Parts: sequence; structure tokens; C-alpha cells
Amino acid sequence: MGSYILGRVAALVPVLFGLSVIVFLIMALIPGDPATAILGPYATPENVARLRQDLGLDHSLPVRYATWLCNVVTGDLGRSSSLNRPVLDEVTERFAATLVLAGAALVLASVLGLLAGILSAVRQFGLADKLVTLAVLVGISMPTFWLGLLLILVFAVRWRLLPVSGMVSIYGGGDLPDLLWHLALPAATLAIVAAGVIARLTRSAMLEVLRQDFVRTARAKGLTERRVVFGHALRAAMVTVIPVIGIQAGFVLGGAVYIETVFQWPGIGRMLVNAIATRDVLLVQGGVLVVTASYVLFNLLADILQRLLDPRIAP
Amino acid sequence: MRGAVRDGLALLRRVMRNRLAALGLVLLTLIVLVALAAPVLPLADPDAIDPARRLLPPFSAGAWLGTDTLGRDVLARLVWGTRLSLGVGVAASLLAALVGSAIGLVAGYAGGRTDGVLMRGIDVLMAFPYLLLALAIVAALGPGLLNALYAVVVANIPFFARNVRGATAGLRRREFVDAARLSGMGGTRILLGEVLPNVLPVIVITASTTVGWMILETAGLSFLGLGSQPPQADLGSMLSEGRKALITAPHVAAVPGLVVFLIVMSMNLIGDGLRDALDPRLRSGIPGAPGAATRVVRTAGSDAGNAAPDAGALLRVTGLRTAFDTANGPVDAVKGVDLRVAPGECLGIIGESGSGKSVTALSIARLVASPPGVVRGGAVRFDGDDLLALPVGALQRLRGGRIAYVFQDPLTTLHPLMPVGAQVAEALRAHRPVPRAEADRRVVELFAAVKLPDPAGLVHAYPHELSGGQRQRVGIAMALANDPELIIADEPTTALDVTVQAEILDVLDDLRRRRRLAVVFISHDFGVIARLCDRVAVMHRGEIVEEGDTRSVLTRPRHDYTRRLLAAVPVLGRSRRPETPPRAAPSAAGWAVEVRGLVKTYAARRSLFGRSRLAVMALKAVSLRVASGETLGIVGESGSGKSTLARSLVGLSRPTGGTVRLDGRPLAGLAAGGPRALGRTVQYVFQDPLSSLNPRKTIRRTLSAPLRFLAGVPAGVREGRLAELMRSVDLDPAILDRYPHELSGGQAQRVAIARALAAGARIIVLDEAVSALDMSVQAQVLRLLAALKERHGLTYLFISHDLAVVEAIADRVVVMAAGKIIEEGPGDHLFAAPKHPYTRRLIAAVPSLPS
Repeated sequence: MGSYILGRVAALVPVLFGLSVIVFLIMALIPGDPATAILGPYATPENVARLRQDLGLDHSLPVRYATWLCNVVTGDLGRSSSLNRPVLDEVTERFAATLVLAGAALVLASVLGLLAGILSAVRQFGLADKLVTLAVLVGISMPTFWLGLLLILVFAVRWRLLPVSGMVSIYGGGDLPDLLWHLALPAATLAIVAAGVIARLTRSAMLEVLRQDFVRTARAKGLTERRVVFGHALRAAMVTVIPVIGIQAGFVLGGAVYIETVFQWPGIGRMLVNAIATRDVLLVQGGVLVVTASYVLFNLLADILQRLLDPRIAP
Repeated sequence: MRGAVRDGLALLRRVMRNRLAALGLVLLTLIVLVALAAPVLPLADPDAIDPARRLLPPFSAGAWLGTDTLGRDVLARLVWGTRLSLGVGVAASLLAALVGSAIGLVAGYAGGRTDGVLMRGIDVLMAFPYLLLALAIVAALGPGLLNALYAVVVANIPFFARNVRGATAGLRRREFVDAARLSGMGGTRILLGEVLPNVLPVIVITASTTVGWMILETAGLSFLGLGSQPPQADLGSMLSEGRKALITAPHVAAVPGLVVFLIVMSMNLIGDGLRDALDPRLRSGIPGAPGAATRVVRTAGSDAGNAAPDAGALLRVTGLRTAFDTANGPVDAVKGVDLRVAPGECLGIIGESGSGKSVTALSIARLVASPPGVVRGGAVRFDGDDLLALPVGALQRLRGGRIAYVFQDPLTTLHPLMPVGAQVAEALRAHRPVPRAEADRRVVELFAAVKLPDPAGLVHAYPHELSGGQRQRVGIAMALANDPELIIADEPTTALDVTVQAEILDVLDDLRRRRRLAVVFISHDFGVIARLCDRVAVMHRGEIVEEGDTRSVLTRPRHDYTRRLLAAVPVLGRSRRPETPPRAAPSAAGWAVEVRGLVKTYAARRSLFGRSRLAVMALKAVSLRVASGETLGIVGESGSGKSTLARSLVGLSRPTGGTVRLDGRPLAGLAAGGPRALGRTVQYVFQDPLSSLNPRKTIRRTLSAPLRFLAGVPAGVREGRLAELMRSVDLDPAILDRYPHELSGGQAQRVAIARALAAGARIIVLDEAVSALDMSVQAQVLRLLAALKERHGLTYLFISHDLAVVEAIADRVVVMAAGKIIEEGPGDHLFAAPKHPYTRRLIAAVPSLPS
């Protein structure tokens, strides 16, 4: 197990290198002069020159990459031009809010998806299966940014059950119940698509496993159906489902961009959209880097969990 | 081309049979038609601003869907926006499919370093959360619809690259690709002609899954203000504009969102339909997960439950009928079978594939997968109770308790993720409330009883860490856990090597005598049955054609089918060899095959931290010579290196050292001269014809390849040669237009032999070429091979694990073990008086028939 983890971590090195290059290239790919692009058409030549100096644009690309990487590793992600504060501070603050939202959504999606998938596999072609299949179809076809608006209309505007937007109440908010009250609608919206994908995959993985020879062996041993389904079939199906949950974490993080925009959630997705609009490139770089690196770590955890379940995976 | 159109139409028909998919297709077609017709439809100007008519509700005069915040007609904007969104989504899909599939094809087919570099790149793209990569790209390129399109394409390329690479890499190892190479086809031709058609379904499926996302994501980027820029409007930006008036005029946002939803849903419906139609497992009509017990639907009168009680029998099966539900109605697999097993007795059931012997065995404890299996009649009385009438709970108490099963392939029948000890303990604890420690102790005892080495240590092992024989011993231990009275063993030794088989049979025989177990033993091998069983029943097409005590059935078969089956069994030491003296001398032209010091080492896989694992030496300096016109038999068990040797002779495996000369010319030189020179000299027949024939090519196209690329037969005369070729292997030329899956196993293997003969190669390597065939078919194919050899003066290298078959066909035999030739000599000699102890053990392990 130890050597497996070490191996996985080592395999991440080229991936992390590759993604750092791509994130770095966001700046390099900007058509024309990045400094002009960032400061806009009304910038003074002095300001442009200063920014060019700050960004190190006079140096060659590899040198700029090396400098940038050194800064990143020491925690210096630069200074946001639009907010005039260190990128790292802004990003960590915003990312914490996103983690709350995305984490809640992923947990919700996994629980719902697994339960629905198992139910629909075991009752294949039954009423429960048909209902789940229909719900999954609607769920995975749903534009979440649109669903969010509809839910706001129904739950917040018409019925006034839940808040329209924000993460905490402006007056007297901030405790856990208040947070959960604000979290309910955006987390549920964000969870819909992922729950659909997980349910659908759990269903097909379970159906596949239930046809395998070892399930027949379990029945031939005289095990009860409950033990066959949960003890034997589900255990084997989880090997396929866990990586999908890992991938869904990425979709949930991405989907958070829409949900944060719709629900005015002060997370990193909304920050990124604003930063792109204001051409705050350093903020974009920092945000993308932090989110992606966390996602990579999350998938490392998913891999390790899968290895714990499946001893056949080579170290 | 015509074939592609026909395939496409057939696929469309299959998709349309799925009602939901048809609904999706109709919906999407309507949306696409309206979007395409936008310029000619009588719509208002989508960009005409009219502040006097702001936010009109739907169904207003002149604005069916109302107007937006600037007084623009929502319907007109909707149609034009749909057109734009669809166009961008489809374009993105095509681009991503093209680029991603190309990367996947190249990586999967080239393998090695190319694969490594390309897939690391894909890994990097996959490391980004989906939408974030698109955001990063838009951040660099700047907002705009075209940039959003690029971003979505890049984010989706990995899905195509990964899926296509996986499928391609799987296909590259398939034997039909090897066969195509030996038919003289070059790399590009194989990639496009053999691999691509088989990968196409994967591309279509991936495209059908991702096109919905791509439309969703481009709309999403526009919604965020990063896609289409005003005044250009797609559905996403319309939604974003509508959001500003969400509370006062919800329709402005709701309508474009609904259209996105409908487009994506119809695409998902079509995608599901396509997947179902393209997935062979679903296509063959296998319905869902089997339930706890086989369904029993006994019609009145078919129930033989009131037959006279049989006091002396432990198991009494009467009139058992089991059928499988298929799309074309039920198909009977077992048609009224009667069996009787007394306590402590061993009954063998023998038959060829499809005879219904396994279904009979599984029907006893109602373990036939259901759906599709249904027991339609008869009775199964175990100690007086009719198992077919028992509630599931009572049946579960019997299963693994008084009736236990041992199945064929112990790798697939044990749970892959559970330690084997826990699996056996579970069988114990399912029937008796045994404390854990007590159960663990019992498991060790059971492991010792089935003669597993180091019983206490193996308890914690996983199935994949054991050898095939060890796994089957675990299977037997599991069956013994609760001291059953009846064990039903379904081909328990078929997947094992002959020496391991002998050991397992010994264990079973010993246990059944000591514990007075009754056994029902299913097999296709008369020798195995003769070794173990008191009585035998012969099954043919779902019926028992003959039953009696083993000895008399085998020595004095009464039924014609039994006689034919027995006649087809090659028996060691009983082959009627034609009186041709073995020609172990080179002809004037030299040896047909000359192998010198052949070594094959599989590269040590170095783990990341330098702990290199030992290299596997598959061949350790093997030398042999085959004269022209001679048949050399090569026997050995799995892992002996016989297949590696065979593959080295045709360049499918690259030896690490040593030389191979064919007809006096070095193989390396032949191979360097391109596939032609090699393919005209030597050909190869693989074990499983269904995997060595491309499933998507007709027999005509498969056989045309060597004629065209190796023999250079011009298209005009090819037809005649094809017919001639088919007749030479006793096949009707009428089946030239069939696909491999439409042939029987024997027919398919004849096609594979015809392919080997097509270009006039004189040396044929037959790698377990008859092992996958039923006994009677095997006998026919062996006769065909002998006749062809006579007619064309062929040289055979006949590789097999079956000593009797080798003895029947080979002039001379070499025995391989652990990568070496340990003994060689004329066939009858070698088998009659083996010198090497291993050969002796091998021969002793072959189950023999009573003479």
C-alpha cells in the first residue's frame, strides 16, 4: 500500500508539471501584448511599461516560466490588478466558499446516485427502475444554470422558503443553520447532474456485476439475496463507481461556476468569471491553479480508496 | 461503401425500435429542421429593438412568445439562437471527435513511447476539472463564441482519445489483427481497414454522450458572458439576458433554457438508443440481472411432481424442462430430462457444447440465470422435497448446505475482491451461527482437506494470487464447508492443465469416497468421466440419449450418437497412424523449419523505485528442425513456452536471441522483405477462429486479403479462386458473404485454414487449432488437415496441450516444459516409452478410457 501511494504520487509529477505549463500559458497565449490587454486601451505608456516589467514580459518564455514557477511554489501568486490585493488571499478565501458548496453537492449526489442506482438495478424493469431512469434522463440533460433560475423562482420568489442568493444573511447570519439555509438550494441544484450520472453508472455497474459468475457462486453458497446484492455485487460494482465519483468531483467544481453566478455565491467560480471579464490574468491563473491542484489531490484520494477496495490493482 | 450504408440503415432501424430513442430522434429532427429553416420562416427581425414593446407576455399579438427587455421578439431570437447553439455544438463535437479519435487511434495502435507521450498529455488535460479548462482557454483567448468553441473542443478531446485508445489497444492484441498482418496487409491498411471499423462504435457512442455536454457547455459559457457577444445571441446569452427580468417576466429566461434542455435530452435519448443498439451484449437480447432463483412456470400436466416416490434416491429429476426466453420466443435447452442419483453415487453427464448438460446441472438448485431462464416443467426431488416448488428461503438453506456446487472457471467464480478464506468462512456462517474464530479454524481444516499448500497462510490470499489449481481447490473447500450430501460439479477441471486436472480429480474422488458424497459431474471429456463416475448419462440437444454404468456405456455404446462421439475421441496410444515412415531428414532444399537457440525474455518491468522484478524467460535456447512435408507436434502445459515458440516462427513474437530459418532463409530477412515474402512462406492458424476473424468483415473480404496482398491475384480471377479455396476446405462458397458470427465454430476454423492456404504458403503453424472445437468437429477438422497436407505437401507445426490429438496427427513430437524442449522423438515411440519423468507424468495424467 505504501509503495502504491508513493507510485501514484510520483506519477503525479509529470501531470502537475503539464498543468503548471498550461496555466502559465494562459498569460502567454493572450493575443498581442498582455500588459496592454490587461490595462485596457486607456492605460498610460508608463503604467504599461511598469506592468510589463512586473510580469517579466521582456524575458524569454522559459525564463518567465521558471520565475513564475518559483514564485508559485513559494506561495506568491502575484497581485490582483482589479482587486489590488494578493491573489493567494483572494483565492483561498473564495475557494473555501466553493468547497462548502461543491463538497455538499458531491456528498448529496453520491448518496442519492448510489441509492437510486442500486434500487433501479435490483428492481430492473420495475416501476422504481422506470422512475429512476426518467429522473436520471431529466437530471443529466438539465442546464444547471437554467434549473437554478427556475428553483429560485419557485422556492425563493414564489414560496419564499429559501433565500434567493448569498452564502450567509447580511444581518445576524453566519452560524451553521444560517449557512445550511443558504446552502440548500444551490447545493441541490449543483448535485442534480452528478447524481444522475452516478445513478446511471451505479445501475449499469450493478447489472454487469449481477451477471457475473461469482454472484452465482454466492447464491450457490446459500447466501440471502440481501447479502448477495450488498455484500458481493455492490462491493465489486464500487470499483467502477468510485473513479466516476472522482470524475464527477471535477464536473461539480466546474458546475459550481454557473451555480455561484446564479445564486451569487461568493466562491471561486464567480471570481474567475469576473476576473476573465476584467482581464485580471494573474487572478485567473491563481484560481485555476489552486482549483485544479486540489482536484488532482482529490483524485489521488479516490485512487487510493479504490486500491484499498481492489487488491488486483498492481502497486 | 454500400456495406456502410446498409449497416447505417440497420443501425437506424435498431435505434428506432427503442421507443424513447425514436422520440428523441423525432424531437431533435423537428428542432433541427426549424433551425435550418430560420432564414425562410416568417419571423420578425431578431435584433429589432422596440422599447415601446418591452417584456410583452407570451401569446401577445405579433409576438407569440412575448418580447424581451429590449422589446425584441423572443420567438425569432429563439429560432436564430437555437440555430447558432446547434451549429456551434455540432461543430465542436465533430472537431473533438476527429482530433480525439486520431490521437486515440495512433496512441493505441502504436503503443510504446508514442502511446506514453500522447496519453500523458491527455492526462494533463484530464487533470483539469471539466469547465475550468474551458475557462482557462477563454481567459487566454478572450471572450467570444469561436473561442468558447475551441475551449469546449479541447476540454472534450480527452474523452475521445481515452475511449478510442482503450478500444484500439484492445483490438491490437486481437488475433485477427495478427492474421491480417500475416495476410500481407500493411500498418496503415490494418489501422484503417481492420481496426477503425471496430473502433467506430466507440467513437459514435462517445460522440453521442459528449455532444449534449458540448451544447450545454457552449450555452453555459455564453450564459457567463464568455461566449457569444451581443448583438449575436445563442441560447445561453438569451438566458443570461432574460435573467435580468427573471421576476417580472420569467418567460424570457425560461424559454431558451427549455429549448437547451429539450435539445440535450433528445440527444441523450438518441445516445442511449445508439449505445443499446451498438453494445453487442444488449443486442443479443440478454435481459437484466438474474434474480435469486430460476423462475418456475410449470403448466398443468407438465408437473411430474406426483410421480411415485423413490425411497432409494437422494436426487430424482423427472421430466425437467428448462428454456431461455429470447426475442423470438422461448428456446428449449433441456427437454424432459430424467436423472436419479443414490447417496454416495457419482453420476456423470457428458455432452458437447449446447447439449444442455450445464443447464441441467444448474436447474437442480434453480441457479440458471433468470431472466432469461425458465423452468417450464418437471420435478427435482431432493430427499423427497420438490426443489422447484420450494420457497426461496428454504432453497437458500439447501444451497451450500446439503447441495453444493463446484463451477468451471475458478477465476471468475470466486469473488475477486475478497480473501479466499473469508469466502469459504462466509459459506459456513451462512448456514450455521459459528463464531468467527471457530469459522476461521474450520476454513484452515478444509484447506488442508483439499491439500492446499500452507492452508493457514493462503486464507488471506486473494483469488488472483493463486494458481488455477489452487483456486479450484478453494472452490471445492467452499463446497465441502457444510458437509453436503450432494455436490454438483460443472466442468470443474476444464480450465486446468492436465496434470493439475489429475490432482483435482484425485482430491474429489478421495473426498467423495471418504465422506460418502453423491456427485453429479458434468464434463465433455469421456476420460474424466471414466476416471470418476459410477454411471454416466449422455446428453444431446437437451435430451439424455443413453444412460448406464460408465464402463458399459463407454465400451458398448448402444445409441448411435454415443458411438459417433466416442469414435471422435482421440485416445492416447490408440491412434491408427498411416504407415508412412517419419521423414526426419532434410529434403534436397534443406529443412523447412530450422530453429537454433531461440531465447525469449519478457522485459523485466521495473517498478518506479528501481526494484526490478525478475525477467520472465519464456524460451530458454530452443532448437528444433522440421523436414519438408513433416508434421511436428509440440506439446506442453500452460506456461511451457509452446505458444511463444509458435508465434516466434511467424514473426508475431520477436525473439530475444537465436535464429529461425524457414525454407533455408532466415526469418529476419523474410520479415524485412515486407509481409509478402513472409506470408507466402509461412502461415498461422489460431486457436479461436472467432477471435482470429474480423467480426466486421465478411468471409469474402477476409479471404480476399491474402489473395490480393500476398498472391497478387487480380480482381478479375479472384472470385474463382475464392470458390476453389472454399471447396478445398469443404465449405460451400455460398457462405462467402456471411459474417464470422453467422458460422459455426467448425466452419469458422475451416475459413481460418483456407486463409492460411490462400497464398500458397507450405509451412503452417497450427496453434491449438482444434482445441476450441467440440469433439466431433475436432475429428472432422483433423481429417481435413491430414487431407490438405497430402494434397499440397504441407509442413505442419502442430501445437497442442492434448497429447492424444498430437499423437493422432504428428510424425514427430517434442515435449516442452518451462521454456525448454525436454524430450523429442517419433510420436508413437515417445508416448509408448517416455524417457523424461515429466513426460511420464504428463502421460499418466491423461484420463484414459476403459478398453
